[in-house]
Amino acid sequence: MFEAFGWNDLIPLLNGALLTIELCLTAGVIGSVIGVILGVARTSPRRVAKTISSIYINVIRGIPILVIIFFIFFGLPMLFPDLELSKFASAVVALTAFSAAYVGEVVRGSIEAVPAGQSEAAEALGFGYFRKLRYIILPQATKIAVPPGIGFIIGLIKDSSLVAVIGYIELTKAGSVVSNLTGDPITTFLIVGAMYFVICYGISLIGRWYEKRTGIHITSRRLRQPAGI
Amino acid sequence: MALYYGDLLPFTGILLQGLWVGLYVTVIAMLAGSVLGVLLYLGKSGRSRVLSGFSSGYIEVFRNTPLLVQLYLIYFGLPQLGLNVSSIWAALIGLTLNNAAYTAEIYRAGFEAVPVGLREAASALGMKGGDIVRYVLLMPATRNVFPSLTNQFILLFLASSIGSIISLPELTNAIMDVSNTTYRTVEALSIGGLLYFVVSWLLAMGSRYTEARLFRWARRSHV
Amino acid sequence: MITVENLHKTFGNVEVLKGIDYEVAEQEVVCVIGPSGSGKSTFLRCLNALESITSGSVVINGHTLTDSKTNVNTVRREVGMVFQHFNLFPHLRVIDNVMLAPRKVAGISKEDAREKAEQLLAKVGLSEKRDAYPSSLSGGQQQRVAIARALAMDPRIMLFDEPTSALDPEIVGEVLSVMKNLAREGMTMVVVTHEMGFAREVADRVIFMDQGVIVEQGSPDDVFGNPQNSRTQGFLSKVL
Repeated sequence: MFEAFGWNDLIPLLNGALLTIELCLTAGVIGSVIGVILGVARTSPRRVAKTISSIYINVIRGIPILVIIFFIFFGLPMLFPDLELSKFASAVVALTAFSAAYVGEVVRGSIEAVPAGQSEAAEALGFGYFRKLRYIILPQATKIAVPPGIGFIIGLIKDSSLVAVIGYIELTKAGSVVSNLTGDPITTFLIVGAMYFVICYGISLIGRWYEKRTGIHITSRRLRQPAGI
Repeated sequence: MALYYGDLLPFTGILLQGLWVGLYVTVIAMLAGSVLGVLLYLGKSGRSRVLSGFSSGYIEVFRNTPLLVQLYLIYFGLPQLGLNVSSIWAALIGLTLNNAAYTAEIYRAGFEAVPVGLREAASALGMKGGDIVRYVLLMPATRNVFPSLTNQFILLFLASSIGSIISLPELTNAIMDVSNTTYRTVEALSIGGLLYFVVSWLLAMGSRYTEARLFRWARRSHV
Repeated sequence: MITVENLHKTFGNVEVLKGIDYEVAEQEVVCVIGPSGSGKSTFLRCLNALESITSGSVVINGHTLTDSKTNVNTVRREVGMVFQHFNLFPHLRVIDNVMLAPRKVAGISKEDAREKAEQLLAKVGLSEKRDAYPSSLSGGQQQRVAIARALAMDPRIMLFDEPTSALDPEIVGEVLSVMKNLAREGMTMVVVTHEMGFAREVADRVIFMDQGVIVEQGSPDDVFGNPQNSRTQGFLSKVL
């Protein structure tokens, strides 16, 4: 009935890993771009920008990613019957939406971590708001944002496992499939876990190297960094 | 497309029931995970190299692998060894083990953030190690970990939704059940999402309020 | 009361104290001055074993610190220390800050500890703040509480590590006046400080340290009025 787990079964898993990385790169990059905009808006003196971004960030972070994924995949087609989203597209949209909120918080925290005196000095020199951001605040905020940014990447890779529920064959879904074929969930998921571990732990080492090198680490409390999941 | 929220009315009970299961599981996993987290923290910062290595390894493994994979291993893996485990037990075990890794790190960060000077002042007064921890370091450290722990609780609550994938009858599971029954997917998801949001928002407000009252002596953030 | 012989202290591969010899007599007030990095704080912290001694010997109040049989906590009950950053216990009220060590280290009863704490708070002029938390006190007030806290253990010797360096200038005076009273009452004190006026007025002897050694020492009039060594002269010309 079952074929025992063999070397061949590694192939779909490796394939799944590649798709996971592809998914995370896409959602991560797009989400980060939007996230930076949200983060800047969140710290903007203009109330409209601040409120809208604040609402978006807090709402998205207040509901489980799984619900967001379901909403995009099952809900959107009902709201817009003409819309046809592939599994990949749904997964990307959902993860992007979530990433944008997360990165928005990271960016906000990083901007706020730049000493207020910097902003004041810039203004005293006559810098306008956007120039101030561009030349003085954001360069410094970027350095500060790296450690939590790494945390975000690791979180994204782990969260991407959830798109398995809509059938997108990233690493975890591939694991499910292989597990059913081989009847050996333990071996399968241990290997799946190991693959995630290698990727995530590797990235965390980069983060640690960066922290050692620059001496920058921001207490996760400031960013209300999701520690769980 | 028109939205008919009314169709959901008969199902409010099911949704609330799911919410209740989710909270229930979260509370237990938080408590058990916090205790296990203390043990892990002590192990990691203790003198035994074996324990320290094991604790570090545990923490890294659980923090660098997805919760879903951990749950799958428990829910599908244990039966392979002959141990039949129900959804709720798998979810409880998985969430607890996962949570412990994060709380251990929260404790570590909290303790490390207590100023060295406090310990020195207590030492200079002649106090002994155990007394120093108990009377001088514990409260400031608690002050440090409290916000992180309450945040962790909220995250755990949101993460409990993953239990639905292994059939835990919590809120997300209920949402999808209702959605399948009524075809009111958008409505079900939005109401369910709203429920999650309201609960996590209330928890956040509650924790900030408690923090302000419990730690009146603290000026700003860290001690 | 304190005898230091050939004290060396190394951190990693940096030698911070390069052979200190000194004696402090009972009821003597000694002020240690010098530039940053001279090792003055390290020297002070060696006296109550907050820093371990790399080589040499320190005998304080009859206890030989370098002897492994010496119980460090016993020494610390007799030697009080006041820190630059106060280090008050933030979660305890002022009076509890002062009472904690007497109760938990000296085993004094709650009532006796409270009585003593009240006396000391009165002495430093902060009786009305007894139920306040440190976070609501000014720097000078916190430091005075810290002095009371150290005095609560009835020490024979008091060590002060730049007690006023973290204070606003106008508040420095209130702490110095507490210290002056203490000196007048006959407490043996070793004070690392930048307050030259205080040293001149209150010290029996002044030590000038630079780069890990005692460069010059003598009475305040000698060191401030007639410095012999060029390094002393250089330092004093910059700070006076």
